[in-house]
Amino acid sequence: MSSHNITVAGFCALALGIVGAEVAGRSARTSIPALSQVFTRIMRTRTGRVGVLVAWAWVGLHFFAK
Amino acid sequence: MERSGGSERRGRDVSAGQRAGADRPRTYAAQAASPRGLAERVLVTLSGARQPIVLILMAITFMTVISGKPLDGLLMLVVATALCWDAGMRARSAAVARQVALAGLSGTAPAVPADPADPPAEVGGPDGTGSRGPGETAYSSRKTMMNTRFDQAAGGLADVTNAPGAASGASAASGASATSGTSGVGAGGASGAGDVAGPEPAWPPRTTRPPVRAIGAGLAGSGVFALVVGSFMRYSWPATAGVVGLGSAVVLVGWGGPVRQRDAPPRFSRTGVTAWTSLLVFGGLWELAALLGQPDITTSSYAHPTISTLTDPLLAFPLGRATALVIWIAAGWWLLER
Repeated sequence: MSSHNITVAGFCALALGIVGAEVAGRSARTSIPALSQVFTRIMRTRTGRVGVLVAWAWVGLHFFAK
Repeated sequence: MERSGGSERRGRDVSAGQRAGADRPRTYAAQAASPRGLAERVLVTLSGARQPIVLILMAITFMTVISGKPLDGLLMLVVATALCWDAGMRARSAAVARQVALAGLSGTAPAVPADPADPPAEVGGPDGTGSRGPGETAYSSRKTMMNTRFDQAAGGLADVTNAPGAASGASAASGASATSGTSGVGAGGASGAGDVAGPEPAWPPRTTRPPVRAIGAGLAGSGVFALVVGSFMRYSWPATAGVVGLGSAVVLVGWGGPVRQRDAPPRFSRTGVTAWTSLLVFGGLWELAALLGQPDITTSSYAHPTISTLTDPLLAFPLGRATALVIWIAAGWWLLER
């Protein structure tokens, strides 16, 4: 297995982990919160809200802006 | 006339005296909350750095700088530092407000004047005679009085110390006391500095979904924006202007306050925090490992592709860029609705 495939597999595992945590969070049987709950809690303060939105803006800057 | 005028003057004097009395503890508390000297300001800023989102922004700053975008990194660093300061000052204001309230109770500092509308009722009982209501103990009566004074002191502090646009009335600390019941975390709680609700929002948040007409307009606008901006090459000035403009607007809206009112979810379990934190840390370290595996920090590598490298083929075409922009805008909208 090449290093390229290993790296991509790692990102795929990350994506699967996020989806799995989200699915687990939406089922009432686990104590894992859903992603929407995580962000709602983080963003209930101005620091959290602005910080998350700046991180989101940075993603756009990173991929599209000079 | 003379009596009337004198009475009116006396009334004005009383009002002025009440205002002065009301302003005194605010001034006292604001002065106590204001840091003096560079060292104290640095300490306030560092105390805000315990916020997880600030740490994440710092990590983004680091990654951006080593990726060869020092200006973007500097921008992120400025924002992260401003958020540190904001969180540190709000935590400090809440702590000072609590001290003022407690000192007012013990008589060692200027007492916070109660609301003229119902001062005796808050101190004594609902009838204002000093008697307690049914089922109300001396402890609950004292606690009510302390909370009232705390909220009033914090309200005064919020007027003085918080950012422009903060309306009087509800305050940072009173917001914390209000949310602590549902979230289990209040000012000075285990979540660290800055874990205090923000000032009064600049607009009343909605309690329901946006109207269908607004959703339709947003979808149409997003589509047009994505197609227009996506038609430009990446890293071009038009694309930069579009993304910077929209990103700045959304951040400004977020600074003004939430657009939708939501109940704060209860405090998460250790398992929940561990699950999401592990994913975040793993993703960051994996991306960092791929970045460091490149021959050069600014040269992409097929053997060790980063997320940016993997998405390059998608973003090479206008339709791919437009699709990515739609996803980015949708994520921003979803975050604004939190």
